[in-house]
Amino acid sequence: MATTIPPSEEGAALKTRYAEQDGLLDVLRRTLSYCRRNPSLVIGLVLFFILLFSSVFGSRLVNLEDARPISVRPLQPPSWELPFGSDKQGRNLFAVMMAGTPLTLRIGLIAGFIGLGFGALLAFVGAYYGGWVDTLLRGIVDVGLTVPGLMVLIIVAMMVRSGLTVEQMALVVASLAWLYPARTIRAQVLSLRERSYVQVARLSGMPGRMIILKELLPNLLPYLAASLVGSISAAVLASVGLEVLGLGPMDSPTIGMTLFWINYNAAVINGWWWWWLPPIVVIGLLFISLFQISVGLDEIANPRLRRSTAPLTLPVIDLKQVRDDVGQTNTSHRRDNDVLRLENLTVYYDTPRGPVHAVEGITFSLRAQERLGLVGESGSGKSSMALTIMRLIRSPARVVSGQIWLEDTNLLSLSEAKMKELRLAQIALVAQGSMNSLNPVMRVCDQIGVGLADHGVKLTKSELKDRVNSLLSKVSLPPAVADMFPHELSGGMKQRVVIAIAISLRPKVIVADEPTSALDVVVQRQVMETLKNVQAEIGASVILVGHDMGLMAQFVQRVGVMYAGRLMEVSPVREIFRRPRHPYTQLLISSLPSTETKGQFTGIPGLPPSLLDVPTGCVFHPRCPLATDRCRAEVPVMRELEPDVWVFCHLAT
Amino acid sequence: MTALLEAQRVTKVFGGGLFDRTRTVALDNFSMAIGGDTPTITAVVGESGSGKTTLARLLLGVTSPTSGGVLYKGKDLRKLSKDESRGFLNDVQVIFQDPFEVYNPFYHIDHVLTTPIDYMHLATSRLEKWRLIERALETVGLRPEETLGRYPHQLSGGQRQRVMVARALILKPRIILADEPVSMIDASLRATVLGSLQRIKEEFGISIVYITHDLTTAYQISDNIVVLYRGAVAEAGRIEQVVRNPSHPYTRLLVSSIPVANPDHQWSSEAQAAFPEARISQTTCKFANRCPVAMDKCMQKVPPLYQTEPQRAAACFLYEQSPALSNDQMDRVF
Repeated sequence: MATTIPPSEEGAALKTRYAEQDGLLDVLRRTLSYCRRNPSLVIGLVLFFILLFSSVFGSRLVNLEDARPISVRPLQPPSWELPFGSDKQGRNLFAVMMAGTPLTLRIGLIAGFIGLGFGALLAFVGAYYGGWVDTLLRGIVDVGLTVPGLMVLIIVAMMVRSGLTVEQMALVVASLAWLYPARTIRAQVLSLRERSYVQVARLSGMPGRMIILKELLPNLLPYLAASLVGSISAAVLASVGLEVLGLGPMDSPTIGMTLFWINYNAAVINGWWWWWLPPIVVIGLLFISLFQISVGLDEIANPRLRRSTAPLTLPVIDLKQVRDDVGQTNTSHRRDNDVLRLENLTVYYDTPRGPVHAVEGITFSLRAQERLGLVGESGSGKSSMALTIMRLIRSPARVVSGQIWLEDTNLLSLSEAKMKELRLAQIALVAQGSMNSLNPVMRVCDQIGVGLADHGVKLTKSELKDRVNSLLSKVSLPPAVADMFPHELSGGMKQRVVIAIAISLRPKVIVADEPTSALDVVVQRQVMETLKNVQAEIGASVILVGHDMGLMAQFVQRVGVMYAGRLMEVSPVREIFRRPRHPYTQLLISSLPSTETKGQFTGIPGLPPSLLDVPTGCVFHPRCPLATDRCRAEVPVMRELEPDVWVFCHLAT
Repeated sequence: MTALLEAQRVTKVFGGGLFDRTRTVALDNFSMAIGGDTPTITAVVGESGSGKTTLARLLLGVTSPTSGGVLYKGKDLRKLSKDESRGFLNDVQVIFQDPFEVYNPFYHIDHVLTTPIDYMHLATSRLEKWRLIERALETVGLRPEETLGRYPHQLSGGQRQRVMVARALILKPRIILADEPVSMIDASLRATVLGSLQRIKEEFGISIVYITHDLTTAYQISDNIVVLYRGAVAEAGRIEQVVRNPSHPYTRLLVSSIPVANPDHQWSSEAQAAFPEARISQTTCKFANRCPVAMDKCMQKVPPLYQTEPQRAAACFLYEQSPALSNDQMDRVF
């Protein structure tokens, strides 16, 4: 590349390419788009700034000088001239509100910022450098937190009582406000510090202080912002509390001082109710605004809270319609001894950018006592499909169309209660990483017992013990395991317990979704062999979902190959390996590493398509070496090339 | 000539403190030399708990050994001066397992590429910096204009991992430790990452320590292999010999457990290997309780490494007639 372009021109090209590196506009644009998606934050911030600058525009509505005593006639109830009335010393309460709110907020902001800033600094220093520095700081903070804060503040305020200004008031409050942030932020820094990206930065020669600034700080910003909101509201409350006790700035019309005068003059007993209005309105608005800001910040920090509003919708099934549908759609794999049959199943995930086509028109069937593999890369829709079969898929996913027949029952038309009965009893799931889903505080026998009890199996204690022992022996575990807790078992043993639970009610179908993904080869083999044995023993059918073609070759009888939410090919396992028909299957199999040949790396060029914007025609055409114009325009249909060999391709023969 | 990076009789013990009676020997008297004259890819293979990740952390100086030492240019990692530490970072780089966690979600992927250049002062101008980055990306088969300026989640696992290889390349290291670099990547994309590892070995003469539990990918790219079992070397040698004709019973079990992508070649039905017990005696062969051919001797003392062939050794009494190697003679094998 460099040889064809003279160096200077290459330089120019590079410069133009990276000219827009600045990113300020980028940040601005991102901020704006956040605001649109995050109305809470905007509402909160706008309200906060209105309160903060109320004296600026307040001066246009009312003469702020009237906030001083003897400006207007005392003790006037609200009227056209005095919307909030006046107090006993002759202050215009509307002017007090406009002039006093910014003062109260100033105390909150100064104390909040100092408290958070100092607390965060200590937290970063302590958590990052560790050792005695951390121990010392932590000790100070822990001791500080045990001291009753308001008491200390009262003492401090009394000591400097002679003419406390608003700023001094803020410093008094700040003197304790750093303790809590120091504690919580330290915990956050500690957990972030162990991230791999911090190690990568260190290995790139980045010094410690830069790691704090560039790697840790940006990721803590949402948390720091949320802490700041908390800090400010705590500071406002603390300052109001001190002022009510008469320890505030006597000459300033802050909210707390207004409350002090209300109290001092016994406004309630004397019937001067309007005196209460300014503090109530301001404190109310202030906390609404802080609440909205923290909700908004939370949403930025935890994307999981951005919940899609779409409920889990199940298609209403009209049985007559289904029969008609069956006639038209692909009935390809239908046989009399089918246990489970998926008809044209389509599942979308609703996202702000449109529906993600996770599973699109999948039709296949599982025969009695069969082991069927569904293989695909990440994002091919295989796990979504497994969860949909169990009806465990949740919003934002939604079943758009299709049926799942377990013998003569359409699972998608069942009530949730009925489905709950069926799960485990008729169709059981061994989920991905499910060995970590065992309850850590329950003995193995109790975990097995819970599933039985939930399905109405009533057993005496000794019957349960026999049942558990026989289940454990089915998965080749010694009876002693029954009384153990999950942490006493190895990963492979836990996975066998999960299998024992799955077969406890002799289901017809076991859906095993990557059951060995975190296990070592030897243990993987043991678990798979266990699964094979129990499947044969109880006569269940198994769907094995996974990405490892080797495991498929060892375990299943038929393989379905998934790509971009569609089934590309369904064939007997020997046929798939001997003569893959679909171009994707061919590439997938030739990319498998083996110990037969060495040093050949044939990956599949290109990347899977975005499921938001699925290619026209055949989904695989952008990566397919054989693609024709027809593939680009026309969606293929599943064709049976030979008995039991089904391919979703125009060209395969 | 001395190797660039050497582990000498390294032992790492976790726990065993005042209140913690469980003592776990993560790595037991382990020796290894990396980065000699000819670049090689050495696979370190073992199951979880075999000590392979501990080994990587020790070689990087992230943790210190309980006894023994890790030497960089003959000097203990704990005693490096500031300049030598910089040199170490330049010479020894790493590729982590999780291709997502290694990216700070706050930044474009450019960040991981510019950081080493900025802090190790590898470029004198902005232009040179970007030229370095582009070269590195092209070497690992990525198009810079399609890669730079993106966020990590906009790239596939394979692409993210190749960017990490490019990052390591920018520092022109002599050794790269790759800790399970493809275990979290889809099968069809693994080839791209493994291919770029092999390419940087051949083109830049970088030695690679490939840490994995997957014998198949290890076989694809490695020259040598060290099989770890419970913190000790079970077998070591040229990878073709070890994988095709394993000596140690544990290696045999490992090789026979590979799920071969051939339905006609089923897992042999030889008896299921017993489950490993949590506690292993320090005075027997660690594999004895699972070993199908265990002898009385195996329960009485720890087998040393026997040099069965010029470039091969196994820690098993089956090969007693071969000469025994002491642990720091591992370099005789490779």
